[in-house]
Amino acid sequence: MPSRASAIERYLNRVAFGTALLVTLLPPTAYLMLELHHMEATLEVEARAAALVVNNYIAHNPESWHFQQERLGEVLRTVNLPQSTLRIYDTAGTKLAEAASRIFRPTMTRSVPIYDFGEECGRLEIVGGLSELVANTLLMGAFSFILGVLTFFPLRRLPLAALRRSQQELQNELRRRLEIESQLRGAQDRLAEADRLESVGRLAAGVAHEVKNPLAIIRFGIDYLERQTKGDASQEEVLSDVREAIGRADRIVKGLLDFARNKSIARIPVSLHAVIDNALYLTRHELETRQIEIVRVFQEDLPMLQGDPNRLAQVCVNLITNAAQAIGQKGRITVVTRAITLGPGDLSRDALDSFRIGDPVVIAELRDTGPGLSPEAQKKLFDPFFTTKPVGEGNGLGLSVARNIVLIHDGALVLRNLPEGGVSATLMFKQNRE
Amino acid sequence: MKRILVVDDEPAITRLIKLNLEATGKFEVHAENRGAQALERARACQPDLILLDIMMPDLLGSDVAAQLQADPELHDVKIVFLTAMLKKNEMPDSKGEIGGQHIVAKPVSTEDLITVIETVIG
Repeated sequence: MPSRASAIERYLNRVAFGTALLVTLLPPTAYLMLELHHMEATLEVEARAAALVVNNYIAHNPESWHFQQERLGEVLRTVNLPQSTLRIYDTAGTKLAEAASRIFRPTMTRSVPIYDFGEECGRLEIVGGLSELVANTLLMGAFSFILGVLTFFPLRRLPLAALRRSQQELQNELRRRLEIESQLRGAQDRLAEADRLESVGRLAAGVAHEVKNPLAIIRFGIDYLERQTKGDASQEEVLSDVREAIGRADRIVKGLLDFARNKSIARIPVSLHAVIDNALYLTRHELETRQIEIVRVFQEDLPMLQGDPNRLAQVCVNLITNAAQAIGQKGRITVVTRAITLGPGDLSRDALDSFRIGDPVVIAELRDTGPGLSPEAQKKLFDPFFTTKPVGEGNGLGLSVARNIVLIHDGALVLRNLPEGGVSATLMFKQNRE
Repeated sequence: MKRILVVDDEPAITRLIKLNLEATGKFEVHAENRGAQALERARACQPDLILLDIMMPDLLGSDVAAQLQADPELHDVKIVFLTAMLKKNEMPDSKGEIGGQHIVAKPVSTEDLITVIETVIG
């Protein structure tokens, strides 16, 4: 691309230079040629007119005219050509008479024969000055040069500017197409992902229904047996364990149904700070029990986003719960919010589908002081039912549900290990523009 | 004593609900496992309340409810739906209702079920 552009630039330079040269040289040259031709013809006519006068004098003074050089000079002066010098030569080339004028070089000379009774007896020479013509030509040359210079620069610059503009437009178009292509790829990926989630969702709903009926039977069975075993402590303990197990299974099934939920959400202006504070309130018991300190680093006047406050709070609850469970006992969760306009360095691979450079976004980042993510966990983070937690603590659906909700909001959820240890979970949403 | 008709395609569920409710001494419980037979069974036993499963293979609980509503003899009978399809965020309110319909999510304890039944039929 650059080499072709510079070849075109060189070509345009040559065209501009050639045109400027033509503009500079053509007018003075044409003027000079025409004027020379005109002057030649004028001198020819003047020489013939003067020759007629001299021939007439010779006719009246046959034989003797040759010796009357003074008179010949006067005859020449009567012709009255003040811009020219007239001379008469005999056939031997001897100058017989002259009517001189002050003429500067360069000069042009023309001569015509003179006759004595029809016989050539010498010649009349006329000399005209060219200095005025040269001066005019030079003056015209100077003007033409200025005109040439004035022609050269616009000729060179205008097409070059147009060329550069079209080059820039082409590059912009290319960039735009690449961006659209990448968005299309992202959309395809998301469609495939949505399709996969849809299948998982349908499966989950089916499984949930099939599991809940047996759970209901067990639950009613426990209630029945409880009445039969009144007073037997060990049997009551067993039944209590079974009831607890039913509760746990039911929570998993409910989580599954949540995962399979219809994807319609409310879209209202939402304050990310309010969402986070609500989630912190909902998780306060877990945080207090685990002695986890919360550090809020909130940007003032954070712009709103558009979405469903309850679903977004669910995302934050899931992330906070995950962070708290990863920490275990005694630690810190730092929540940082900020609003930025996305630059090229701000887009991670996971966020490419939903965002473009230049998008104004709001970001919430949760940093924990837990042990961080293992390589295996990093690969399977968002897989439904993948969990690193002890039995009973998590069903492996929290992050999948969270990410689904974020995707429905056209947002991004990115988890990564922090260099100083712990995990950073970053939520990114477009700012509300209404 | 209030008369209850339980319609669910799971015989174990109808049997256990019958056992648990009748054990309280407050209810007389009739059980039916086929949705399509529910109307006929209701006409026969004239219940005060019907516990109606939604997802049944032969006839949906909502269709059974529509038939009951259309029947001049039975259109006043109270209905409480039993369902395994409820999601976390669609739990019934304090009166056990969603959009005016009485709904109970499986699995439910007998105690909670009785609370809903007593709320509906007093």
